[in-house]
Amino acid sequence: MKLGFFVPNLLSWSGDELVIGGLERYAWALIDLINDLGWEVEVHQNGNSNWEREVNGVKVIGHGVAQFSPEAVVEEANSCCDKILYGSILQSPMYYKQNSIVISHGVWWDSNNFKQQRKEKMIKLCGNVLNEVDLVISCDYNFLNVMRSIWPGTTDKIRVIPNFVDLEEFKPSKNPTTDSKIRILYPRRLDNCRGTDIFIELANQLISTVDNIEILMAIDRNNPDKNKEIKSFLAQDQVKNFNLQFSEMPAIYQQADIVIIPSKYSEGTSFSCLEAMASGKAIIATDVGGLTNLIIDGYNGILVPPRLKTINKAVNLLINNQEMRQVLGQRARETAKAFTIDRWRQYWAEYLKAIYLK
Amino acid sequence: MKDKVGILTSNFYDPSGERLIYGGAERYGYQLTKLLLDLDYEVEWWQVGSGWEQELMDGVMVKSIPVTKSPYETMPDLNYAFLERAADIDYAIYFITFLAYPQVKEKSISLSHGIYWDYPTFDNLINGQQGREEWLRRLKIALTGPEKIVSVDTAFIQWVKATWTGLDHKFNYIPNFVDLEKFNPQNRREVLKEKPIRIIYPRRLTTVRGINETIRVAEVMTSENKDLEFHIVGRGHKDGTEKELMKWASKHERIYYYWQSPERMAQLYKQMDIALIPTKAAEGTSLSCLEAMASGCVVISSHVGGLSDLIFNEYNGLLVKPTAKNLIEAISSLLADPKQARLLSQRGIEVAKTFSMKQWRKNWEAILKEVFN
Repeated sequence: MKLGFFVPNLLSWSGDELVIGGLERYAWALIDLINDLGWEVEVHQNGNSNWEREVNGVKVIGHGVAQFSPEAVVEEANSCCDKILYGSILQSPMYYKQNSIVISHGVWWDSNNFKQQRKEKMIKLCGNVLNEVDLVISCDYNFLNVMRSIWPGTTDKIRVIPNFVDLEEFKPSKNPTTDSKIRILYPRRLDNCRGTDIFIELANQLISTVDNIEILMAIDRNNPDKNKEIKSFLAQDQVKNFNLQFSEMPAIYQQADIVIIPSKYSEGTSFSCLEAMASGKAIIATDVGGLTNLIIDGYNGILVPPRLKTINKAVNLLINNQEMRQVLGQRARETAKAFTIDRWRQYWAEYLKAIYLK
Repeated sequence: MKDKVGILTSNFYDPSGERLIYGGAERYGYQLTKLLLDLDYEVEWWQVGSGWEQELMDGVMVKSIPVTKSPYETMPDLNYAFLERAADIDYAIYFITFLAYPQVKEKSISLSHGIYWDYPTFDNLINGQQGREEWLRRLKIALTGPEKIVSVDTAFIQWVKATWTGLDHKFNYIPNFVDLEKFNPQNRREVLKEKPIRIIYPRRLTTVRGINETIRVAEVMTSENKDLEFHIVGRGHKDGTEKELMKWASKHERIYYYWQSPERMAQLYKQMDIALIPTKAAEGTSLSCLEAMASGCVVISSHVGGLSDLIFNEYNGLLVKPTAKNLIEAISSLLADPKQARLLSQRGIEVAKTFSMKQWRKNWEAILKEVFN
């Protein structure tokens, strides 16, 4: 059987580079699973021209029409594929085929940057998706809760499969550092929704008030302007700057004492949070989106509203309490065991077969 | 002189003033009152009624205001009368979010017990899609007034953020509490060790709590498995419902129906193996869920509202879509793997400790300080 898979940006628009991000990692994990089911996958995505590539044995087709209309890419994909899986909900109205699955990566419009009318538009759009497709797989319970409170009759179609983490790859260090430094890690993209601004202000405050502090920045280089903006921040002695290379992340997590996930909006069951958990770290996360499905305040981390004041209070509490860091970290590792990739694959396989083999 | 806090609710007692309603919200109200007294505030409750006054506890009066109308699921007349009549209060707590419509006392906090409109027939209460707009307009005004809004779960906060712009800064998530002195695993039976295996549904007999799914599950499973007992433990809103259920239970072997005071529930949980919380709608961080978990029952809960703040699937319980089929599957999976069930129970006990009354009081104290001082 052949399954079309719409992923907006699995490769760059030229088709020459792999895109590194949470959505793309999700897509690759799913491609592996679909292959293991013995099905053929054909990825359709945005392109700056029409092209075709083969990556890791998978056919990827770029649609040049993306330059003019993101919906048209899906329309073209719809017409090439008898059966199709939609890798995300598009932010404009479009036609989804029946007998298909759409993936929701969480509510993305829960921000003050979205004006009232746009919020209403996004909600309507999700309502349409629920009417058209057979199944929506959501990575968190937040999307489900929001949809149920708006369209209570249609949420039977939503199933939740939280994201996953590899417990072998991400694990606590066998030889924890023993110096007196406290290392605080920000393992996210430089993006407003990820709370970069909150973190940088927090880090500056900590640098000026706490001795022996070290700030670890594992950030992306996708946006040179953003990197430039914080150049003087990154240049400080107390700040260590890492390239967000996936292969290096396990070792970076191991160095940290505290990991901060200060997302402000548009958050699902964050891979970064799950990886920090698997690494056994003391985590401060915000009560935004799917993070509440990973962290229970005071049990396996600290959960606070996305404000500088609340995060600051939490981080100071942890800096001064080594025992608490240890307990929260151990429980975070324990909790991560409920989010293995095997479990994720098992649920996904069941739904893929139920929808596409009928 | 002490500062005085006025708390506005709809029904602490039923409107006749004769019967104390003792549900989750009322237990919450009771504990909140105790905390305020401990913090040296004077407390006064206001609610719907013919004008009667009752003493709730030492020195704490509940006063009533005759109001009959609740257009668009709000109570503007009650809200207005409270503001006028409770003129001597220094601070106000709106015990239900919509009671803060249309106007609030300057220094005030409101409270959300969770999303309560997430079922299809709610539309009938607000005059359908047309009325929905007006209901939402009123609800937004109710959220705009108070300085802070305490939410018992994260689902409500997330819904507001997804629906409106500009209210984010008001929210504080304070999950519900469990009294660990009472609800704990001391002297409990070991999970899934002795027969009969006991399954409890510790909820009200209402459709949104999943009573009908539970009835189906109990019938199917007790007829197939002679080692299973089902205990349906909770009151109905009407005497008729309770009678009907009693009749039904008496016709089935190993299915029991009764109810217990919250005090005696603690002992009961210790005799149970599995607790079902199959809520379909209108759920916050359920006290029943927390209590069952703290007592060491393996919890099978639905994925609705605040329950996903308490249970992580396959970590400290099972989180399922509440259909009879899914509940049967979930129970069967526990019966097939008692070792895993015991692990879930153990972790549930640990997790429940973070929802202690002590922590809850600490969280509330911080908000009260911020707004009332």
